[in-house]
Amino acid sequence: MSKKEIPDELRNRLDEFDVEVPEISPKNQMERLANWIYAPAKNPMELLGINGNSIIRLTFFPLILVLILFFTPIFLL
Amino acid sequence: MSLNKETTSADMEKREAYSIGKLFLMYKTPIYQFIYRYCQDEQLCLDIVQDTFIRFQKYQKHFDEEKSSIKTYLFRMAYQLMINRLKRRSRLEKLLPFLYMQSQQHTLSHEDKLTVQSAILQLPDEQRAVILLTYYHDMPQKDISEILDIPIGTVKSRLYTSLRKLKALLEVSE
Repeated sequence: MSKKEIPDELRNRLDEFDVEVPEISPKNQMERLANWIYAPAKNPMELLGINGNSIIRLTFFPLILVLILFFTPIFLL
Repeated sequence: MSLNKETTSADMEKREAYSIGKLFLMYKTPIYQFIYRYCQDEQLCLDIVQDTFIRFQKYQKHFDEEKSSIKTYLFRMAYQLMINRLKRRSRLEKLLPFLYMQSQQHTLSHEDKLTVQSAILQLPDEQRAVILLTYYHDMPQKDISEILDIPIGTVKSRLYTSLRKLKALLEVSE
């Protein structure tokens, strides 16, 4: 089966998927590393899924951390 | 001695034809489009396009123009790099799911409207690449089998299945 054998209706739908290509310049590894270092750091609250109104998570995450710190020495003994 | 000179000049011509700058200008767009349609992640696409040419520069000596075309070779490299990155990402996602929570929520909110983009994403990975290379890049089945490292028969069956699935997903009549 080739491209021409695909029905017209499906071809029309597939043609809707247009991709805009941004400016891509060839970079070396050092430039990429520099960009990675320079990129703004993510908010750690976002990583934990904590938003402005998620008060339960905001309270429970430190509690869980304290519990882990508290129980770890017991297992290490 | 003259034979040596001829071989050297032939090598030089070949190197000139495959100069990284020219190849980059020629193939960055189709490779970006292929990767973007496959994973729909802009940052990953930019990285893959750059990595493909860095890798090509490194392994240029291994390219044999009798075995495959330069386009097929570059697409194969890009595809392998993308698959490796996606595998690594999915492993990380299993280990640290909270890092990916937000992106999943973002995907779910768009599910009510089934566009061609989301229909393509719903295809299984192995079928997605076949339909993209056939339709958007007009590649012959032999080249697709080289890029994906699968037999031509598998390319044919995957194309047939993916088209049937796409028709069903997009509610296109036969």
